[in-house]
Amino acid sequence: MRKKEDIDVVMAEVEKLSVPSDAVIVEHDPNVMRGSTDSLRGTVRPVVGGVQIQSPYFTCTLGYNVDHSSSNYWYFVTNSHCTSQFGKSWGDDVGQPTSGSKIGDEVADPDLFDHDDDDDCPPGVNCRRSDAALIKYSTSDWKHGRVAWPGDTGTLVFSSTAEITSDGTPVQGYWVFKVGRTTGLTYGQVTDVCWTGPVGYQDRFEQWYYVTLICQARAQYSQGLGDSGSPVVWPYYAGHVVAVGLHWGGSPDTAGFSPGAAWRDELGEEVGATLYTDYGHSPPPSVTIDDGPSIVHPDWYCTWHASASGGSPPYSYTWSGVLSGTGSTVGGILSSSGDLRVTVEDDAENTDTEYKYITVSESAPYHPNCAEK
Amino acid sequence: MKTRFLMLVLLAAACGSNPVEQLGTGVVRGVIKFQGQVVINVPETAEVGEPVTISVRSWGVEDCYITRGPTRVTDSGHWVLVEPFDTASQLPRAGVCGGPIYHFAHEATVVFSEQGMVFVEFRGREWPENKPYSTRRRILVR
Repeated sequence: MRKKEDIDVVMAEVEKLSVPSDAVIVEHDPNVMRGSTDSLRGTVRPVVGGVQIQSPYFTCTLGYNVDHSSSNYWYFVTNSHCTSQFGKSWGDDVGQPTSGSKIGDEVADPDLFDHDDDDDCPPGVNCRRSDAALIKYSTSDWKHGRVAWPGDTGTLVFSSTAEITSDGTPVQGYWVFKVGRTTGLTYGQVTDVCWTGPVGYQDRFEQWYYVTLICQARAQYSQGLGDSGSPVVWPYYAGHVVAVGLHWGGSPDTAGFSPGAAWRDELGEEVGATLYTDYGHSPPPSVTIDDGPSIVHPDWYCTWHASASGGSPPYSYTWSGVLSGTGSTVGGILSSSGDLRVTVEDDAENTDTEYKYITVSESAPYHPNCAEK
Repeated sequence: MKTRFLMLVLLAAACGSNPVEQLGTGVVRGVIKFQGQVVINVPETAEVGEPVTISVRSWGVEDCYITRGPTRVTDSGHWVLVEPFDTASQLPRAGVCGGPIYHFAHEATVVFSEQGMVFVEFRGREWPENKPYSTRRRILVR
């Protein structure tokens, strides 16, 4: 259940069934995305973390939607090895769930470095501190600060999402959960928080290479091919999680993931911004009064309509000033000139307000939104 | 019937009914239908005597060390059989590997000598059922 309008619809249906309204409790659950269920491998809109993505060369999992502190663009993160080349951005097209349904282009994939660049990198190998690349969204149909949350292990179906409360770091002994397109929701204890070692990959040219990943976390959750890029989180409270890392693979008995701070720092430095995955950094909505007169006759009943975009749908509208009301449309007869204000609030409780000055005049021109009363 | 190998492959066993046909050390029929997805590129038309490139994607779903193997093409005039294979890598293993599902593009170039309708059959496996799968496309040769 998403918003007041939806609750009204449900209650209207209840009334049709002659069920007393006080016998029914309908609650708004912000974690439920829609009435139907989705598969982690299917088309998921709005796009959230944990679902399948695909380039022409790889099938992987989307990690997190990412807020870039110094631009109005929006991004998501997945593994660098899910792109054409680890350590170099080729601007790959990435689709969800398949490459034919494009949702973004790769824009950042920091260079590999060696011992001469950084003492932390052992001699004779190429290193990174995270297996992460940043993809810029080419669609607006995504939802920030949420990961798909299957109801149980062993299923790829989900009907709700978990809200990312904050960005955190892995702690040895803590239980973490991974959500990926191949093995779904799995969990296990963190066994290492600073493992350094070589990881084998194959690039788009089908060449094998190894990258030594510095100070990675490891845990005992199950994983499979295609889970690369999965969000790794620990539960905070019901329906809420802390983002602790980005899964990249592992060995049969141990999974590996890049700690959240490692990939956010590496990618953030590359793009010159601080990166956030938590729900609190959701983009604000924008609202405009896109239909309605500026001059009205004192005897006319007129309507105005507002449209919201961006942010985290769904939206709620509140009108004030010369008229008051809720919903995307407001109407009434104005007796005096003044501001008509509409404030939109999105699901993340961010708001935007638009003003329109309405003049009341006996000589108002015809407007299709007005009728004499 | 003539059989062409676009890449050298040693066939240790003939094709049998085993869904995972072992065609040599670590060589398996490619997964060409992956969870319902098939990616094939075949032109609708072709000219007699002109080379035509056709391709099919296989999916490296069983092992992160799998690599693209050979593509076997059997050309019988109005029927072309394309069979992609994938191979377990012989490279030393680090013990730890990244976990994407690799896509391998198996390409073949064929030249048709006669006009008419030609059928191209792609034969591999489907996943996760892990059973034989084939699909056919047609090309009008003018």
